[in-house]
Amino acid sequence: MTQVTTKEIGKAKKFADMLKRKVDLSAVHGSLQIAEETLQNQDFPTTRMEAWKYTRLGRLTNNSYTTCNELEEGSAYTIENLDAYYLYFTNGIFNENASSIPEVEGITLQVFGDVLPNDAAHYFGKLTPETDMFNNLNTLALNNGVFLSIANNIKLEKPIVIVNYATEGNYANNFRNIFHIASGAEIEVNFINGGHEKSEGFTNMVSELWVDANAHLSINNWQKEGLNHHHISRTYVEQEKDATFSINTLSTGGLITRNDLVIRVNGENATSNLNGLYLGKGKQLIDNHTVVDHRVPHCESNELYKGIADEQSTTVFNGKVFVRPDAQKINAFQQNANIVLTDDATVNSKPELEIYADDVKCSHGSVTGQFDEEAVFYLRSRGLSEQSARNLLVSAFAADVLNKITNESIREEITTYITNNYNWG
Amino acid sequence: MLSIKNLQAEIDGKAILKGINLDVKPGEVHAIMGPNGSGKSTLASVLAGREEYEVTGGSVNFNGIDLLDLGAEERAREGLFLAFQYPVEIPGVSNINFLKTAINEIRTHKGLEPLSAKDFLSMVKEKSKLVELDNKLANRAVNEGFSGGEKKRNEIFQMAMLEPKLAILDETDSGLDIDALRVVANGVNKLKSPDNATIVVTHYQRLLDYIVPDFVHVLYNGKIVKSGDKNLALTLEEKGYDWIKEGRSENVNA
Repeated sequence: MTQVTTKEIGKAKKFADMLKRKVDLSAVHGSLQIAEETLQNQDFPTTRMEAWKYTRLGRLTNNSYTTCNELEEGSAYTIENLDAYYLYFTNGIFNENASSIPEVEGITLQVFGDVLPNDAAHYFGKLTPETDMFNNLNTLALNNGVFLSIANNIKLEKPIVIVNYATEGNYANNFRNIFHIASGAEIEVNFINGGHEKSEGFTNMVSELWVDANAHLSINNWQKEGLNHHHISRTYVEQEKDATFSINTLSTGGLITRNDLVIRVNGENATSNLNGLYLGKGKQLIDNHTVVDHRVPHCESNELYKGIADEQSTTVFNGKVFVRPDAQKINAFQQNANIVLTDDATVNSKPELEIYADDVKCSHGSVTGQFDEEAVFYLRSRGLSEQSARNLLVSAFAADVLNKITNESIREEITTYITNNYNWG
Repeated sequence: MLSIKNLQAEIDGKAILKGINLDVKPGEVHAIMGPNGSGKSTLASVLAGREEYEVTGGSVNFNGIDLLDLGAEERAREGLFLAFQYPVEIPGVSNINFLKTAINEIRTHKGLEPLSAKDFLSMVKEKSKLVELDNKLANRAVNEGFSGGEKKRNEIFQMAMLEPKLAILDETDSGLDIDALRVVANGVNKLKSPDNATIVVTHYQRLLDYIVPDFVHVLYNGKIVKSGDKNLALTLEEKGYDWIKEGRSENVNA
C-alpha cells in the first residue's frame, strides 16, 4: 500500500486517460483544452473538502473502468401506460432502433454520437465550472449526450424519457445533456438511470439546462442502478423571468450516488421546485447537494428532500439557498427530513440559508428521527403485523415526495418499484 | 370471555399491577375506576400488549387462549380492541387505508376472503354515521390535526369497523366536553351486543351515566380493592377515593 499523501497529482487525469472519448469535440476546442489543462492539476475530491466531508470516493476511484464499444442488450425499459419519446442508451451507446425521436416542428433533438452537433457547440461548457473535476472528466471522456432545443412557445405534448442502462461490468459513461427551452416553451423530460445488478460501472452525468422566459421544464430523475454502480451527476440550470423549473430526484440504486444541483434564478417571478427522495440500504452512500441562487426579486423556490437510511447506508443532504442583495420579496422554503432505521446507518443533514436581502420570506428545517414506535404500536393494536405497520409508515413518509411527481405513470412506476423492492419491517 | 388471575406487571423495575383478578363474561360492561396512578391505564396497556410493561406473574385467558402469549396484532385479530387514552397522530397514513389493511389482515387470519372495495366503503359509511364522524375525517390521515373529541370519536369508529369481542376504553372520557361524551357513549352503546363485552377505564363517574356498567371495580395501588354494581360509582363520585384508601387494609384482609 502506498501512503496516502495530501495530493495525488494526476490521478484524475490518469483516470480520464484510461477512458476513451467517443465524441469529437473540435467544435469546442477551447473548452476541451481548458478541461484538459485543469484536470492535470486536479485530484478527486477528498473528505477534507467541505463539500465532500461525508462522501468518500475510494470505492469509485480505486476501481478501473473502460469505455464500451458495442451496443449491448438491456436498455429497452418502458414505463407502463406512458406514451412518450424514449431514447435508449446502453453504457452510453445509443440504441437507435429501439428509440423514437420526436419529429415536431420547432423541436430539435440530437444525440451527440461521434461528433458534437453544431447547434450544441454554442452551449457546451457554458454552465460547467472547471473547478469541479467531474465536469472536466466528463468533457475529456465524453461518451455521448443529448442536445434538446425547443423553439418559442412550442409545447411537446408527450414527455421524453432518456434511459441510460449500465450493463454488467466496469463501463464508464460520461454523458452530457444540453437543453435549451426557449421562451414560452414547455416540456417534460424523465431520466431513468438503470442497470444490471452486477454493474460495477460509473456514470458521470453533466446537464446544462436553460429555461428561458415563461418556459416550463419539468424533470424526473430516477437513479435505480445496481447496488455496485457509481453515479455522479452535476446539473446546472439557468432560469429566466416567469420560468418554472421543477425537478424530482429519486435515488434508489447505486453504491455511491452524488448529485449536485445548481439553480441560478436570473429573472423575476420565476418558480423553482426541487424535491428528492433517497432510500439507502446495504452499504449505499447517497449524497444530494443543492444550490438555489436567488439573484433577482419576486421569485419562489420550494425544496423538499426526504431520506431513509437503512442497514449500513449513509445519506447526505446539503441544501444552500442564496438570496442576493436586492433580491427582495423572495419566498424560499427548504425542508429536509430523514428516518434512520438502524444503529449502523448514518444521516448527515445541513440546510443552509444565506440571505442578503431584508424583505424576504425564507424558511428551512431539518428533522432526523427514528421510527415513531408509538405509531407502530397503534397500528399493531388494530391488527396490522409489525412489518405492515412499519412499511405503511415509511411509505407515508416517502409519499410526500412521490406526490410531487405530476406524471401519474412515472409516479406509479416508482411507487410500485419501491413497494416491491423495499421492506422496512 | 376474559379471565384475569393474579396479574402482576412492572415497568422499569417498578411494580404497578400487584395481583389483579377479574372475570368478564359476554354481554357485560365492567367499569374500572380508581385514583391517578392506581394502575388503570397500565392494566389496559398490558391487556392490549404494550411491550414496555413486563408481566411478572399471573395469567390472562381470553376465549380459551393465553392472551399474554400473543403479540399486540394477534390480540387484535383475536378480537381485543383498545381505545387509546391518547390516540396517535400518524401523518400521511389515511384512516381508511390503514383500516382496510387491518380488516383484511384480520380476515386473512380468520381464513376469510378480503373485503371487496364496495363492501368496505359501505361499511365505512354505515359505521362513521354511528359515531357521527364526518366522512372527511374518515378519509384524512390518522388523527392528524383532529380535535380531542374527533380523536376519541375516531377511536370508536375504528372499534365499530373492527367489531371486537372485547373493547377496552382507556379514559375515553378524558378531554371531552359533554356533547362529545354523549356521542362517544352512544356509539359504544349501539355496538353493545350479548356476544361482546366492554371494559371502561375511567377516573370519573360522568361517563358511566351514559355507558351504564354491570360491574364497577375500584383499583388502588395495583389491586382491585372493591367491586360492586353501578351504585359504587355514585358513592365514589360523592365521597371521592379517600375512603377507599383509608379502608384499604380492611378490604384486603376481608
